[in-house]
Amino acid sequence: MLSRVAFTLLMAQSQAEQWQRWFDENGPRLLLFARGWSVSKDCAEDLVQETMLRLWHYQADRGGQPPDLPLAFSTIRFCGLNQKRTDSRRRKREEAIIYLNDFEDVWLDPTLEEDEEAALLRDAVQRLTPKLRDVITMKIWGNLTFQEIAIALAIPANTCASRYRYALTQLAQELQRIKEDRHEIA
Amino acid sequence: MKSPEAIEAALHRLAPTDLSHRAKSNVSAMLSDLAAKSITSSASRPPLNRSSVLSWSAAAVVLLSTGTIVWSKLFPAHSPPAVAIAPQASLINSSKQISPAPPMLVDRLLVTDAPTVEKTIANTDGFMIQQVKRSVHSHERYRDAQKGYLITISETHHEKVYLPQNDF
Repeated sequence: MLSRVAFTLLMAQSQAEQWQRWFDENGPRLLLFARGWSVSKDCAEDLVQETMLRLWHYQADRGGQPPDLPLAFSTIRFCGLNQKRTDSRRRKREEAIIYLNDFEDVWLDPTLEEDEEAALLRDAVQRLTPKLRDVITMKIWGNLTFQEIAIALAIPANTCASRYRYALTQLAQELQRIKEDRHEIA
Repeated sequence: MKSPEAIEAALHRLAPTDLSHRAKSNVSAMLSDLAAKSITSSASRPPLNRSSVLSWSAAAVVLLSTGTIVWSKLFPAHSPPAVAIAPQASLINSSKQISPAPPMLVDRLLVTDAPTVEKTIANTDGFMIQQVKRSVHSHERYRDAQKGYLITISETHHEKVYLPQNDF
């Protein structure tokens, strides 16, 4: 037989392990989404950590299970908006900083790229407008349905679908434009 | 120009970058800390040995709410223990199990010993209140589906309740 304290310890350890597994699986997705709400990778990682803290407390009243991914994306968005709205002094400070171009600081993993086109595509994703990029991130790397994205972003599902299609078209045009520019130079 | 489907396929070949080692460590430490705090908060709950003194207003609530409990006026000095099985056991047992999941409650058994009257108190309104002591033994069994453990938790706590005296 176990004492109450030992049992509570067992339950808490099991819960922490579940959350850790969930974070190991979804951490990179959260980071990619958080990059859209932050000026640097460090800020995005801080945003992910803040999101995890909020999610823990939110889920504590609902059985303590790790959250589903749409809720996590939605919480990052909420935290990102909150940061931008409330911390005006920090925003001014950030605006005063000149961020040097860090070629190692990329949003998507370059090790999986097969060719130059993949690198161009990666850069083009980073240049998408936040509205389009959020939908692309949640759809491609979060594997969410348009319905789930709609709930996370609080917009109609049809809007999500049209933003997604528009983003794909824009990426294709961007790649085409870069290739044509290079061809002219050559 | 490439088709949207081709772009979609190319995007799928890209993968998000992983978090830095520092960020991963911070989040892991935070999760451990939060789990430890949840232990602390559950351990700091009120002690089970309840010898608390009810205020007269609370006693009045007890007086009204226990009106349906007939045993308060007829219980003998040594009556057989009352046994109750929690009804939610079957409900929890039949609920959908998510894997991996914390241990699930299988059943719960509550055994209440025969209550004994410790003393009789008269309040300012003239009501006669009996201070009754009773012991409650609880047995809970949990099953850890992941590891195959059957965990049994047994504990006993003593309660003091105040009941109206209906017979003299």
